[in-house]
Amino acid sequence: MTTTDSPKGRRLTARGARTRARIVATAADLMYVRGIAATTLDDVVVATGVSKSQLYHHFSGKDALVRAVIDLVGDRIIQRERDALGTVSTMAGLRRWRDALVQNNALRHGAYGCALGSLAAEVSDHDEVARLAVARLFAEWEGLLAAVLRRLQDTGVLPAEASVDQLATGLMGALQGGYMLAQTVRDVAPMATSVDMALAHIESLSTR
Amino acid sequence: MNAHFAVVLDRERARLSAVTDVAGLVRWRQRVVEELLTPRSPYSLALRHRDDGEARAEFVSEWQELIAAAIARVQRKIEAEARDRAAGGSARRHADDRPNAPCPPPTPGIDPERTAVLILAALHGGGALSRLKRDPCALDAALDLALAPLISPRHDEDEDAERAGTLSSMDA
Repeated sequence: MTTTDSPKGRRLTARGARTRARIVATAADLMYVRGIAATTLDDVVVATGVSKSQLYHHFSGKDALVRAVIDLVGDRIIQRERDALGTVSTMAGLRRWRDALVQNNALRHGAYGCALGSLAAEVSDHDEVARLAVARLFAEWEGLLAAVLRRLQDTGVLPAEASVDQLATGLMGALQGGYMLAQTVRDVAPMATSVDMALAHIESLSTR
Repeated sequence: MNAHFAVVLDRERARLSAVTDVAGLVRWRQRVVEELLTPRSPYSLALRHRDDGEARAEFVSEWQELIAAAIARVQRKIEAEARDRAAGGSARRHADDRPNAPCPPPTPGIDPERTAVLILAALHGGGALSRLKRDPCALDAALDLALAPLISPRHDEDEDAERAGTLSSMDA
């Protein structure tokens, strides 16, 4: 998926590509910590150590840069989730996935939330192209969760009539809401609780 | 406190205090979903995350307590009804309606405080995903999962008719 501008349609030299990648990575870090709205192009110029004209050489403006950040953050998260969920076929495996997310978020006392969820909150009402890009990434992430639940169904852990797509969407809602609550109270506890409760419900379906 | 927080808490105090049984919980859910799916409602505005630290933490904590208290009432009602059924329904008691009646034991597997955390997470996360996708299904799926131990599938079916209406409002 590509939502980034290539403003002048030029092919990048290896050095140009490295500069572009550095700008996007720095912008992604700033936007994760401060939010999109509070991150200016000047902030990105200063933090990257490039000139303003270099930045405009690669990006026509902030929207284009935000879209490039979405691609980068989306790739990172989908890759991480593919690695974490790709072969999970047990409830214990799903709990290990939960443990890793909670542990990682606990490192910063939940201060910054989910990198993709934070982007979602900020682009939903501002940039239609960006909104659709983030929505596609969430659909892909939920698809990975649904695939785990389907494997649980295949092995008889979940009953055939369980609606796995709906459960995966509900679990994603619990996870994202958990990140938001953790961010609010600067404590990972409500995130751990909400995901645990969601997983407990999914597990309870197997005994009915 | 942020003006949206105060409006939401006022409404939630009134609405959640009226929740004493499963039917009441279903009605509360329908109303909160309608509020969250309305783009500029106080609920939608209050739940969008901003850097308003302490005020937001207080807002979330107070709402969570209101939800937990409502869940505890619903749980006691479910327990009382189960005991009535077990007693053949001949000696119907209304222990939970009497102010000084002893609390029946909790429904196994339901912890009101932890359930309230999951419900609040579902409102926040499901609401954000529904806004992102312009589709109420994410909020519905999150609340279905959060309320599943309390709300039977029969009640979910009752809501299907209501849901058709909320779909169109998301396109606005």
